[in-house]
Amino acid sequence: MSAGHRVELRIPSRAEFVSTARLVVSSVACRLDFGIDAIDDLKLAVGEACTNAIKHSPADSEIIIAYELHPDHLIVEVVDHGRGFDPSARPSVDIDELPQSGLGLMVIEAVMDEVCFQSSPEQGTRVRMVKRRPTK
Amino acid sequence: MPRTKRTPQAAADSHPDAIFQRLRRARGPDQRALLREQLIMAHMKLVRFLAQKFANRGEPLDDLVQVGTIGLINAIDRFDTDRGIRFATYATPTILGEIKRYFRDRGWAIKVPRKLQEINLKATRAADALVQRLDRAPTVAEIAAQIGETEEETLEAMELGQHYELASLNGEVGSAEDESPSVLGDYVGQRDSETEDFGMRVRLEEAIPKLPERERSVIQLRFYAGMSQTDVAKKMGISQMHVSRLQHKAIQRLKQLVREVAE
Amino acid sequence: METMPIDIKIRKLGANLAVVELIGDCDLYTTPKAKQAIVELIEQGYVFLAVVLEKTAYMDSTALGMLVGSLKRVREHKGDLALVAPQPRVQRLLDITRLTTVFDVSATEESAIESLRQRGAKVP
Repeated sequence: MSAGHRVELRIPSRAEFVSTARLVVSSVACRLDFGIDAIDDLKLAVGEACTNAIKHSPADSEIIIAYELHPDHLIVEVVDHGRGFDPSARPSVDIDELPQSGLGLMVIEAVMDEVCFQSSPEQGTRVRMVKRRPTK
Repeated sequence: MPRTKRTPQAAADSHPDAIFQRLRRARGPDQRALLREQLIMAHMKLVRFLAQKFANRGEPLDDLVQVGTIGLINAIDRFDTDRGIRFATYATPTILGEIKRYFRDRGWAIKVPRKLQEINLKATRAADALVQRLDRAPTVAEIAAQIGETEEETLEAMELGQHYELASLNGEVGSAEDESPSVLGDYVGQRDSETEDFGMRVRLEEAIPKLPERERSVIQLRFYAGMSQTDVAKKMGISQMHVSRLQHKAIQRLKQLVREVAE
Repeated sequence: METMPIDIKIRKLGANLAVVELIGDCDLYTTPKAKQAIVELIEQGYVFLAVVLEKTAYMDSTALGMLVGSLKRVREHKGDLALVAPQPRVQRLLDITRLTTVFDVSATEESAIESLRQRGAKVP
């Protein structure tokens, strides 16, 4: 069991690296024996968080993704130093008003067990997400 | 033995630019072929020079030179003398591109994808079966155990295996931009056979000249000159839809021809 | 051009009807390519689209946004868009975002084409 370890990934703030962050979370979650559904959820959440980070940061900056491995849960933190955004914005289902970042947060909250957002224009954004290993 | 001295005129005549001009004005196919031959010869040094850069990657230099020559031929055919750039400048990326593509296809079509693809397929089926049995989502470890592969390869295959999925030959054969001789080989070859059919590549090369003229042109332009369907359509003066149909027919015919020789 | 982990297969079936198959991953990086293909189709008059997701291994909100945008665009041209055979994980995404109320999702290409035909698609 790999619990107690922290894996950190730094990627350029560019679209082509979101898949790298997803790949690493599936590798880490696999180490912790998460089921394939939970792995899919994690990929989705990490993908959304990184997408947001990249959209709100300059292309020459870095996004840091930290994966904290615990015996029965995984914490993923995505940090950027961009311009921040308002996490309280929520989309309506009306087709005429469907903002992008709203959908992403909705997805993260639906598939992760706990989510915490901190965002400001000065310091950027930190998204901390927790997923408990599904009980066997 | 007296040494023949080249007059300034002769030297100018054999300058590549001059040959291009004559190629443009040339009428008969024989004359064109001769001039193209001269251009190819004149630039073999360049091809060799570029191929040498890849000499230490485990592929015989002669093969790389051959591949580079294909790039040279493409460049000769596409070069527009009015552009105002030197042909060597124009041709270098085309030649390099062809060689790089060769490496990509070599690794691509032979080793990694088929295995990952196969494991991906087995893993998906095993996952479905395990869900029924366990009444919850299986872990990668459980899937790996079920299919008899390592956890790491199973995960890799599940994450990356579907990316190498080849075009199905029943629908329209790909709008993919990257066609090459080895991809053609994959289309024509048996997808579900376990073993690599090396002889098939040779039979394929022999089968192509047996195609009817238009089908042969499409195959050569698509898979050997790497042109997109749209460009092929322009070159042949037909619609892109027509190119697509000809390509499909040609591949079906090649499959048949290759099978016949094997039996 | 770099290879992208997405492949887009297009089949034009009739005067205004096309099938678009998204194979592979559809995320922030690869979605623009799919969007471009769809925009080109619409510009060529293919305003009835069946988007096949059977081989879409991964989709996120970027792709959903693109599909919503495409739906709006075809509707502006009196057309429509149907999604076909999403994998369970993509279906889950549609459920989470409640976009199942917005999109017509069919299990098969045939049923998608039939429902598009009823809305004006010219099926050969």
